[in-house]
Amino acid sequence: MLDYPILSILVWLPIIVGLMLVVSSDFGKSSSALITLLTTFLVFIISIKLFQSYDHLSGELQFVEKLVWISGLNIFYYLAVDGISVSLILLTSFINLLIAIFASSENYENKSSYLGYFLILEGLLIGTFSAFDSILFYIFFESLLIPLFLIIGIWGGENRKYATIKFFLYTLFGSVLMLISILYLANLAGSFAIRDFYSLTLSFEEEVLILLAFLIGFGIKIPMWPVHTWLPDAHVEAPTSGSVILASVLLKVGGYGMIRFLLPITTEAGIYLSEYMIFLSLVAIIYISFVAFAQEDMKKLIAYSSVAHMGFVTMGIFLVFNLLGKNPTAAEIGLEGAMIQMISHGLISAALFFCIGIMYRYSHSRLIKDNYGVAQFMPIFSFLMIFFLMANSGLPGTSGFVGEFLVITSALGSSFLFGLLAALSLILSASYSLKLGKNVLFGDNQKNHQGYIECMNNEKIVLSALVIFVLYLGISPDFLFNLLDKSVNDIITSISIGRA
Amino acid sequence: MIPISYYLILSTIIFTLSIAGIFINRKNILVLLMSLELMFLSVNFNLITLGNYLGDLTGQVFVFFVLTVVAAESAIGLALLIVLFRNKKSIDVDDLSELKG
Amino acid sequence: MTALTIILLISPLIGTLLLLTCQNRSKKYSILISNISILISFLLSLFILYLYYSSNSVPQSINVLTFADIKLFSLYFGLYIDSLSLVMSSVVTSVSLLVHYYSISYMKHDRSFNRFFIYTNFFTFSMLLIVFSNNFLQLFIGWELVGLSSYLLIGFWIKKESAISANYKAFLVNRVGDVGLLLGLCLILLSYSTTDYNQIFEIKNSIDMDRMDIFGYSFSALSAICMLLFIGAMAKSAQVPLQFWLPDSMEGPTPISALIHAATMVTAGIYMVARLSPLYELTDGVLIFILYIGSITAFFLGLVALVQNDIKRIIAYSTISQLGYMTAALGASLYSLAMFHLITHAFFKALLFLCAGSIIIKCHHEQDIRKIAGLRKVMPITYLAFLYASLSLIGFPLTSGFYSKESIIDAVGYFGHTIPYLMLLLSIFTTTLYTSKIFFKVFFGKCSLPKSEENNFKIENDRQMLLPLFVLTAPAVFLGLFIYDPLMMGLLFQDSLAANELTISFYNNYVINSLNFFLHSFMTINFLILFAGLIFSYFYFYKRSFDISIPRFIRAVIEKEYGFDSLSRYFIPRIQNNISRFLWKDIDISTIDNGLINNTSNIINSLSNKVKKLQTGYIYHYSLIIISALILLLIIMRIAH
Repeated sequence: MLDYPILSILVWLPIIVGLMLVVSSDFGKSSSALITLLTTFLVFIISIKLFQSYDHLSGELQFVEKLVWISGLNIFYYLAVDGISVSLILLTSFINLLIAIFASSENYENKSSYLGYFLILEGLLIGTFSAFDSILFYIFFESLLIPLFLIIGIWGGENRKYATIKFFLYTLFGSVLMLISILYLANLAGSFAIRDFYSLTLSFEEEVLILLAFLIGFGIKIPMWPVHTWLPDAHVEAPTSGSVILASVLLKVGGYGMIRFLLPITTEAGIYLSEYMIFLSLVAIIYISFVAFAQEDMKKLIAYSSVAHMGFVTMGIFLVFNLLGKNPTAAEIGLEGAMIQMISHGLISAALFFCIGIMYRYSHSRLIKDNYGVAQFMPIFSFLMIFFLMANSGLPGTSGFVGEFLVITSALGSSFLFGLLAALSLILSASYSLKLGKNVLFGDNQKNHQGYIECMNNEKIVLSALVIFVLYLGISPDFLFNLLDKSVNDIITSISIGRA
Repeated sequence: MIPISYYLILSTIIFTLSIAGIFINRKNILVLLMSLELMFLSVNFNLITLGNYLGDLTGQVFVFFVLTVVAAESAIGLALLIVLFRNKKSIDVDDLSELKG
Repeated sequence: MTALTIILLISPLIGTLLLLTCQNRSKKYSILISNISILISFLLSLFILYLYYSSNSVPQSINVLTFADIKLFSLYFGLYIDSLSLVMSSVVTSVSLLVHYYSISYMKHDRSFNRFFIYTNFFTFSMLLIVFSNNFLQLFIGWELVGLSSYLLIGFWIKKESAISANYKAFLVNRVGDVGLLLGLCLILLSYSTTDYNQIFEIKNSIDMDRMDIFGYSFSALSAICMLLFIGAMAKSAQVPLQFWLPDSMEGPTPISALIHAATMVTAGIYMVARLSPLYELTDGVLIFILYIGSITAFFLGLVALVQNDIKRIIAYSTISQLGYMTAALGASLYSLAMFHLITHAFFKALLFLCAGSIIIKCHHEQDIRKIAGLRKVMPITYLAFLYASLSLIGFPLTSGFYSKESIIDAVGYFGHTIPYLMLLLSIFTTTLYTSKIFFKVFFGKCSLPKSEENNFKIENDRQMLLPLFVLTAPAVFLGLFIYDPLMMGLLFQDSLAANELTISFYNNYVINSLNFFLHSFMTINFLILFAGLIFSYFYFYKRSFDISIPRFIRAVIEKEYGFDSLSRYFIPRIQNNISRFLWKDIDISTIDNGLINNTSNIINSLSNKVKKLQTGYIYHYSLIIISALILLLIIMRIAH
């Protein structure tokens, strides 16, 4: 344990610096970039410190900061972490550092507030992952929308108004339902602390309703089929770094919420409905893969591919319900697979959006047909992009494989059909990922209208850092397993005990 | 002694006139303001009548307050009217439908 | 031995990394690094093989490095050192070394010279990863990595449209097999909680009874696993119906076709089944399936080779057909024979491809055998090498191919698998025909080269391209004779393969010894068919003394590869495109997005458009409403009282 409030620092440091950058427009482009870089770097270092001092052998909540916030209602300022939170906090701070490096060479109007919003977003994300009071969680969860709304709305593409409003209303709709169920639960439990909800005994009908409310709330965020349609639009209009943070960290909030709320609170209803929810995830995996194949816009392709990969996450989570009585080990595998898939997708999708951003800078078009023969002019870039496309299609040795593999194993433990259908994604994801590579990177481009030249050094740093992590997680996912194992184990056992 | 109902009926008539002035009048905001004044007047009339009737001075004191407020209000109203006229070159009520849905 | 094996395995990887980090150095540097790293591997393979046999070692499985070890997901880097893996690694590294050496001059004019060697070195490493793997996860990783390097190498010429479509196709078809392999791997994990070969071999008998439900049918778990794994092997080893990627993969550079698509990667499937032979022996029905798949592939894909005109495609179809032989041998539980044919085939097929490469270079990248002729005088050495390789391929007595192939055919017949036997027998004829077709068309007749080059046979080709031909000819022709007896007696792969007793009984009762087998072969129907094939092709292709017109319908069917060609070229892409477009445009956009989501907002929009009409903006309307509402309220209150 540390003698300073490390979580509060992680949450509020970037928010304060971000607000400063947003408010004061005196900072020049380079100095604001430098400040952002330093702040994200500092946050990254602190989160590594958090990771180091976190005790993996205990599944208990650690670094607890619990203050009474509104005493009459038992609302707390309650920050804490377990293994699941730590892994996501690491991902957040890492991706934000990369964004700061990447954005340092980008040229935007009013850059200091652009970067400021990203810092605010970072703080809010860390807050979401470490809040253990439902109201605090809800506040962080909702405020995430504001900076992203502004990032897309101000620095977005042509059709940004439509996309931002759609994105905002869509996600707000889900969170209203979530708020209602939080209030209902808190009313029963007499406290807003999330852990107090776990011991509630609810009637079956109540559980089903609460499950549906949470499912819609988090399902929109993650997003699940059929509430995914905001994502492609938001991605297409967002600036590169906005897409990166949206795909790699913001979607994970949905999965995180499912693990925190759905699994422990509505277990009985979940077991009852598990096959339908697994069906929805399989639809996401297969149907969305086909849809991704048909895309003409690179960003949309990757956005749909994100939805398909998130299908594995939801599948891993819902398999826990399905396997709880039958095969608890397989259930644990499924949940760990879902977590690893989240982290890995965070890295890979970030990399792919960076790649598309780099190509867009030259060709000024996100359409596949306007970009071709890139490999001739940008060999290093193309090498890296092929690597990420392969990782996206789940090549063993990259992190993309580990999560999918675990989820498929877990699915096979439930039924052969589930496993088979999930494994089809191996073919489908390769078909759309490599189609992108084939049409964009390869081919003959004699004239080079787009003016491709090899990407800049800071971009190379960003991409190679991602390569290293994707490979590291793929070859030796040990540290992530150690981090997650105890917490995942605890969740599963607490659910099983709760049932018994 | 005139019965109190006469006063009250007079006040009601004035009030009704002023209301009619508000929504039958479609021409001039000035008339609108005047109708408002009239409305206040009818209320004041009521206050005085009833104050007298109940032997309570508070009602009559209140009239002074109301008169002050009305004066202020009509001053502001006129000021707005002037600004409006400057911008619109008209004080027709029919021309003022900016808040139309 | 372990340390040496690690060096053997790592050396190509180090080569890759060195090449990768020094991209801008000269060509000499890449040549040196790549060839030396493979040379080290090759010498070490031979040395360890020698050590292994001389010290009578037993197979050992060593876990060298643990990458992850949590519950089910345990990822080891492990080595399985036994005769099977060592022989296989010797084959892989020797062919790889020769191909590397050959490529120095084959690729010398290419701008991406360095990149080529990065890929080939990486390929060699991944292949060795499969060969030495002692657990299923490492196998799967190697499996995918060879797929990746094959993808990169087929599409090596990134500007060539056909090449980048071919590599896309190859990768996807392999992915179909990978689904099988992955499901098999997951089932193994679920059933046995380990991926280690040895541990699974040990407990295989106890769990043989396990049943599992697949779509309502009950299967033995082991059979289901083996079946799924074989699906992976079918894709990698180009067996029907997943064979159609291999001919297209010939778009890559020819040395690559020799290395990956003839000698090594495509045989990974065969190797895997042989490696897991103790498991396959316990299954029911799977082996028969394998046998039939193999013989069908051998026969029908051999026929397709007859109607092709591209020299590389002919050899590719021939490879598929020969892989069919190996698969058939696996299906008949003749694992050592399958491995034997794998080894000899690796050499003579690599030799054929390298010869084809020389021919293609000499003819300025002309691959159509109708346009190439009369090269015998111009390229005497290539001519001879090609001759020997062809003899081996058709199984002419005494050559390597003869021993491996004839044994498979005779053994399949000997153990009473009549229909596969007939199919294998008939494909001797087709093999002879298509081999002679290339041979006679390319080397005889009027020379197709321009006059200026015709007499210039002093420089047939670079010496660097000729040397590998020389070297490869030796094993392609003679290797069979040398290892035949020990192999058949079960000495070579004693501890590694199951069901050796079948091969031994076949040897003792039918073959007796290699000399006897050779003499006996002249009296068998095999030789008759071979001889008939030779006579026929002599008159048909060389003398052109008669002409046979195949009915157009049959010809079309064969040329279209029994419909697989159109299936892979038109139907599957079209179906996928249509499904994708339908799901995207009709369901995702029209139904969900516009229908459900945007329509909701449209409905709300139109409702509010109607409601907002109430807001007229006229103050007298508002006041009217206010007053009337007030009056209404008063009335209501009055009534309520």
